[in-house]
Amino acid sequence: MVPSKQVLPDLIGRIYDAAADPSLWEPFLEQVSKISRGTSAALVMHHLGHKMHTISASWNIDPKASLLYQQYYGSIDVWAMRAHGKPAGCVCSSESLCSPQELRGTEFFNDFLAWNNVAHGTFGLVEKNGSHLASLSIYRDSSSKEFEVAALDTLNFLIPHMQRAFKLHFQFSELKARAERTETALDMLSTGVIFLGDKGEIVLMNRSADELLRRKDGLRLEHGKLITSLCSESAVLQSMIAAAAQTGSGKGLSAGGTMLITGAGTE
Amino acid sequence: MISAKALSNLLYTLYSAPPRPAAWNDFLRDLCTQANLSGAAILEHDVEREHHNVQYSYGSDSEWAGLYKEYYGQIDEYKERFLRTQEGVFALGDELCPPSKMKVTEFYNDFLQKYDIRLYGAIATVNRPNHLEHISLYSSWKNKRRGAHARELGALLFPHLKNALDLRRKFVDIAAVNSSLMAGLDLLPQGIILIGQAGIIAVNRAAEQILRVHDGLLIVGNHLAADIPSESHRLQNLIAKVNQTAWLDLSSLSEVTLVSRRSAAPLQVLVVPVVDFPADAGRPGRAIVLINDPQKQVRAPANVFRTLFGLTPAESRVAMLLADGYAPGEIAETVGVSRNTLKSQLASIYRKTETRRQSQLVRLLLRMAVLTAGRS
Repeated sequence: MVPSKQVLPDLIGRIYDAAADPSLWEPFLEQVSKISRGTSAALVMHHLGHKMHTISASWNIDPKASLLYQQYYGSIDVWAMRAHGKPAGCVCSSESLCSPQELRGTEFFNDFLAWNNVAHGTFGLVEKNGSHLASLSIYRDSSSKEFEVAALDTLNFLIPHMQRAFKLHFQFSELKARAERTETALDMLSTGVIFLGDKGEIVLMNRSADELLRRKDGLRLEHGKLITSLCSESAVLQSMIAAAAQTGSGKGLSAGGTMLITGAGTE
Repeated sequence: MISAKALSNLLYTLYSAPPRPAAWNDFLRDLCTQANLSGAAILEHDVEREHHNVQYSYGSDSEWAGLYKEYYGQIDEYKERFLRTQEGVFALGDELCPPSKMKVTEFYNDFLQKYDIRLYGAIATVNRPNHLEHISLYSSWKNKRRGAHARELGALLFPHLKNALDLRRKFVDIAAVNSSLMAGLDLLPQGIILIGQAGIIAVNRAAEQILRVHDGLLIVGNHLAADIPSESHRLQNLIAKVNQTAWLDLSSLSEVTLVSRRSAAPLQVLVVPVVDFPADAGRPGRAIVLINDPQKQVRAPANVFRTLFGLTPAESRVAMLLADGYAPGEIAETVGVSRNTLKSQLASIYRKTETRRQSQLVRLLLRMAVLTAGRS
C-alpha cells in the first residue's frame, strides 16, 4: 500500500508545509489516514517527565476524547508506554506493542478506546528524546481489521520526512528565538542601535533608537533612511554609512566613524 | 521511471539542504544519478545588477562557477531565452537555443565547450522581473548520453524545489539577522550572555573577555558558574528561577548577584527573563545575563572625544583626567600647567561640550563609551 508516485510527492510536501503551518496537519492526517484505510489519525506528543500528553493535531477524533486523553487517559496509554521503548523512526502496530487479549484487560481500552470506537493503531515514532515522544498515530475502528504490513510501509515512507520536517522547524524556531533574545537584549539598552542595509536602508533598530527617531529631534527617518535636521550633517552621516556599508560588503576599508548630530531645536 | 522509494529519498536529501549548504551538492548528485545526467546547478541572476551566481553545482570543474560569475553569466545565451519561460515549466536546452545557433556564440566557444557543459534542461523556481533562479541539468557535448525522465522528475520536484529554496532563503535571512544583532551586542561595554534551554547560546565580545581570564565567572559544560561554590550555586539558582519565570510568563522579574574575583572587585551580574516568545519556540529556559565589570574603564577614547567636540590635544587630556576622577589641582600638577591655565582650559572644555561641571562631563564620556566599546 505504498503511495503512488503521483500521491507521494504531494503527501511529503504536505508534511513540510504543516511543519511550518500547524493548521495544515489536519488535512495531512486525513490524507494519510485514508491512504492507510484508517478511520482517524493524530499527532500525539508525550512529555513523560512533565506528565503531559498532548494531541497536537487530529483528524476525525472527537475533541472531547482529545481533552480526556490529555487530562487523564494519555497517562495510562499502554500503546504509548510500550512505544517509548522503541527507537525514533520506528513504525509499529498496536498488536506488536500489546496483544489484543492484554489490551482488553486494561482501563485504557475499556474506559477510553472502546468508548471512542478505536480498536487498532499504527504508530510512527517521529521523535524520541529523553522523556519526550512524538508519534504519528493512525487508528482503525472495531469494524476493521488490524493494520497490515503494507499499511506500515506507508508510515515507513513518511516518518523520515516527518523527522526531517520537525528538525527543520525546530532549527528555524531556534534561530528565530535566538534573534528575538538578542533583540530583547538590545532593547534593554539605553543606547540607540540601528542596523542598516547595503543601501543605507534601516533593517531593524532597538527600542531606544525607535524612541529617538520618533522624537524627530535632529535625527529622523525619511523614506526608510536616516536624515538629520542639518543638510551638512546629513551628508556626513550618509557618506559615513555608505563607507561602512562598503566595508560590510567586503568592498571598502572604512572602519566607520563618529559624529555629533545637532538637535532640531538647536539649529 | 523513478521508483517511489528513490523519489522519497531524493526529496529527503532535498529537504536536508535548506539549513546546510553542503547538502545541496548531495541533492544535485542524487538528482543527476536519477536523471542519468552529468551535472546540475542552481543559479541565481540579478539581471539589473548583472549578478550571475552559481549557488550550488555538481559534476563540473569547480572553476567554471567562478568564471560564470565573473563574466560568462552575462553572455549566457540559454539564460537570455530562459528569461521568457514561466516558473515551473521544464525547458529543454536544445529548444531554448538549438546547437547550430549555440555553436557560433562566444559563450559556447570560450566556455561551454571548454568545460563540456550542454544544458539538458532547466526549470525556473523564481522568474520575476530582474530576479531569476533556476535549477539546470547538464549533459555532455561529447557524450551522446541523454537524460532519462528529467522532464518527469522536474515536474515532480518543482513544488519541493521551490519550497526548499524558499526555506533556504529564510535560513539565510535569519542567520544574517542573528549575525547583525550579535555585531550590535559586540559593540557594547557590558558583558551579555544569552541563555537557552540547553545552556549558553551566545556570548558578546565583552562577556568573552571576562570569561577568558577565568577569574570569578566561568563556563562549565555550557552553563555559567562562579569560582566560589556558594556564588555558583546562587547564580545557577537565579538562572533557573528566571528561566522558570519565563516559562510561567511572569514578566519583568530580574535578579542581581555579585561574583567575586581573585584580582579585582566583584562582577555585578543581572539575570533577566525573556518572555513573549512565539509559542512554536515552545521551550522553557530563556534568560539574558548582563555582566558589569566595575574595574573596566568605560569612557570614550581621547581621540574620539577630541574629534567630536573640537578639543585641542591639551584640552582632551584634561577632559580624560577629569573623567578618571582627578581633582583640578592634581590635573594641573600632572599636566604641568598653572591653575589659571587649567581654569581657562576647563571653561573651554565645558563650552565646547555644552556641559557645566565635572559630573556632567564624566556622564557625557561614559555615555559615549558605548560608541567605541567594540572598537577598543
